Amino acid sequence: MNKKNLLGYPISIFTLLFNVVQAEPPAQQDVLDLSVEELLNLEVTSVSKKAQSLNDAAAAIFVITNEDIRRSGATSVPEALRLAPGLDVARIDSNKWAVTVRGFNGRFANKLLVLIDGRNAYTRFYAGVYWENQDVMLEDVERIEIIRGPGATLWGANAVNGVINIITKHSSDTQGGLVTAGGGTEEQGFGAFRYGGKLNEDTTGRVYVKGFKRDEATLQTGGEAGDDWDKVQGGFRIDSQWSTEDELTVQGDLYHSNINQLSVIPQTSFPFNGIEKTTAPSYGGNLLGRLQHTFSPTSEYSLQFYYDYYNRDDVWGKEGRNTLDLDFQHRFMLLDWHEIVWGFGYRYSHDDFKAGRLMSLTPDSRNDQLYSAFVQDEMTLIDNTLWLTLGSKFEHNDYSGFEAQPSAKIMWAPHLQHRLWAAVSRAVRTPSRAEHDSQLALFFLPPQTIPYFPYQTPPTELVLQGTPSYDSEEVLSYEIGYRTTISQSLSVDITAFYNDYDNLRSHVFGEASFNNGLLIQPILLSNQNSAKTYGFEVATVWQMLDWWRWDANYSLLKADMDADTLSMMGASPQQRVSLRGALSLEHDVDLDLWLRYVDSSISIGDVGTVKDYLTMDIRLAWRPYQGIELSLVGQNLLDQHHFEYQQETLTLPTEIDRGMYGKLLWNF
Amino acid sequence: MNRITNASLRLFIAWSLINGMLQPVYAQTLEEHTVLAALTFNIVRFTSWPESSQAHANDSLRLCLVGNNVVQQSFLSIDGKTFGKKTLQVINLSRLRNLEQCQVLYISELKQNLLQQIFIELKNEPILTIGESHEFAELGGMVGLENINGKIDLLVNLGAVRQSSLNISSRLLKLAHIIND
Repeated sequence: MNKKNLLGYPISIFTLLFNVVQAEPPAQQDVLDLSVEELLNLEVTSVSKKAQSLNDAAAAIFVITNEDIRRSGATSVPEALRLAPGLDVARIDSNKWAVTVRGFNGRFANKLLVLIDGRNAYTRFYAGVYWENQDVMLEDVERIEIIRGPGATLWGANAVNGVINIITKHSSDTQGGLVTAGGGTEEQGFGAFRYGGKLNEDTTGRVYVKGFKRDEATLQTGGEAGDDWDKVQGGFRIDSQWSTEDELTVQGDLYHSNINQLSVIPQTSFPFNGIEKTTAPSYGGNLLGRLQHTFSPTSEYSLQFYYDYYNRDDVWGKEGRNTLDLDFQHRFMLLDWHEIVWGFGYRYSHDDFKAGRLMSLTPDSRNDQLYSAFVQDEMTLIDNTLWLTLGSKFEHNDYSGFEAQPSAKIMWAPHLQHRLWAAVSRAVRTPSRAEHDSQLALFFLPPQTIPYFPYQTPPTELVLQGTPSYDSEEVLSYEIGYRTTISQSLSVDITAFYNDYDNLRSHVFGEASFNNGLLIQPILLSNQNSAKTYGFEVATVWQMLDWWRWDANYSLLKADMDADTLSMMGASPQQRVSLRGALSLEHDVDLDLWLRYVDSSISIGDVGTVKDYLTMDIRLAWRPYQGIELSLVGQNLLDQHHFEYQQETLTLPTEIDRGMYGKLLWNF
Repeated sequence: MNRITNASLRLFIAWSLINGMLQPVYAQTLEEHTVLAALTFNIVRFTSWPESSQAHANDSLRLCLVGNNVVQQSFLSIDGKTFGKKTLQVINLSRLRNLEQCQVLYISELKQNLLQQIFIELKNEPILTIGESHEFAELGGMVGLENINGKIDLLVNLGAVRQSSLNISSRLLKLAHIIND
């Protein structure tokens, strides 16, 4: 803020202290009496824009902006996702996260679809997202869109509980150089470099490289968790305006990381479940091309192609996966009141699995295909007031065959300051490669003494066994939402939901067999479980002062399931609160306070109960010169370390440490 | 020193607010879109349409608005305003269709590829196009209003204005940056 306002503050304080009624801002009528010259000389502000604007989508959508990420101090994608209401982000250890929305969290959480610039980050291998593999240059992210609730009609299978779209900036918006460097206690060292330039009259591009090293966390029993890791990643993006109708985007990334952990490894002899430090080298890359053709303001299509490869040499086995994807989408208007989007897609996936100490796949290599098509019609029933959207995705995959995922949504805008919407949708979570084809050594039961012959049970190995008949899990979801701007500076977004799940994963004991004095007990996967969840999420933005904004989120999640399902699915935290204050103490000084509360939860398989926790991050930033920012960030400040989630198998309960880091950002 | 005083004052205000006196304080500055609506009204007043245009067919002049609820709310202040014998009528467009019904098209935010198609479609049409960035005028729009460090800057693409046989008064042009002369 400028210094002219300095005198205003004592007056403001006076007003505050004596609670005198505020002077209204200048009436709009007065503004209309001003001349153009006077209008052009007025000081204007757009700070409350975010607090006032209402989204027009008939879905529970939340947008994290580049500014939000910067001010959060988050250094990774999953940490940034904590900004969104209803999103359940739990850090398992230094290099693993469990992320979901509306329940069913886990390291291998499978009901949330994630796309990075249109590329699917959800792997068929275990039906989920390797969060530690998904990274972008956070400074170049334009926004992260989070859709809670099914998004399968547009995005396809596995968008059961939500969709996350990470969208990076157009290369024309990242011209010039950017360097960041920093380090601290947990973020031991990190740096990034990006340079963007003009390649010719119609083409812009950028290249980047980044890297980091993160410290290990703390075991719940005390001591180092051995889960430190490092990563280096680089990439590029080129955007070319071929003609006024055609734009071509080509982008790609390459990464390599070393992921350490203390693994619990079942073995045939004492101590049966051994603990050793293992390293999972992981690398991958992708290349994406997209052509966007615009026929007219009301008709456009995009044709997208990508190739993605990753390879991970983990303790359970070594996996390499190639994915080729082709996607076409066309949007146009029909008559005056239909907006139609339709499209089709094809995906080919080829994997190679080398059995490790814990897991094998039969067959060890597999080719899969996915065909899909969708159509959606948004109908304007009353101009500017009432819209009805109907659509469905149809797809065929090699695991569960044909799937239809329809939805119906209605949006009503009775007034500029109010939006009401409701939706009914169906979505499926298709089986993973592991659920069909794997054998995973879970645990060894050591021999037990018994009072009769042979006086001892044999050591027993529990083996999780995939089943080729394993089918899709499905949800029927009902949602209702309301958004309003209560005043010039305050808006509220509320969504309530009721989800009815069927065909959820269950376990049945298979026939036990003897092998070299060892009893092998297979646990087979089946689809016997069902559950119902319901709850609501509230997101509010309050621009209290033009230099002070509050973002407050609250979510409630209730689940109705039997004990067996509970043990299979775990119990996600019922309540989550996030309260963030963004203060601009000076035009070049930011202070950000972020308080988070997460209710207690039960991890999958009853392996651990997580106590509720309250934590806080603080960020202080100063921009001494144009283009230079120095910031100091404290993360998870309220405890030396705290527990957020315990992975289903293979790792020890690990707590997340308090951390501090300093960062220099230079834009040139 | 002033800076430190200012920052500590703010911290003090922060502290007093937290202590239960949560009263919003209005800024001395004005909402961007309130000013943009007023500017748009003035730009319309300073523009004349060719004889052939619908602008002369009746007493109302239609302004089509492409924008979110914040923009629509702000433009309510100029809906129904009269100037000379004309009344300005603001129409909120939820679809980019039937643009020929408008004499003024105000676009708050739109993807660049769609914007370019609109300019192609409206080429030579007597429709005054106003947008919220310099880029808007550079891409083929007529008037670009951009917030530069808290003040609105006016950019006019005079070539595009002339091509559509519109005329913007020199009194306004004096205050604008001109491109495509």
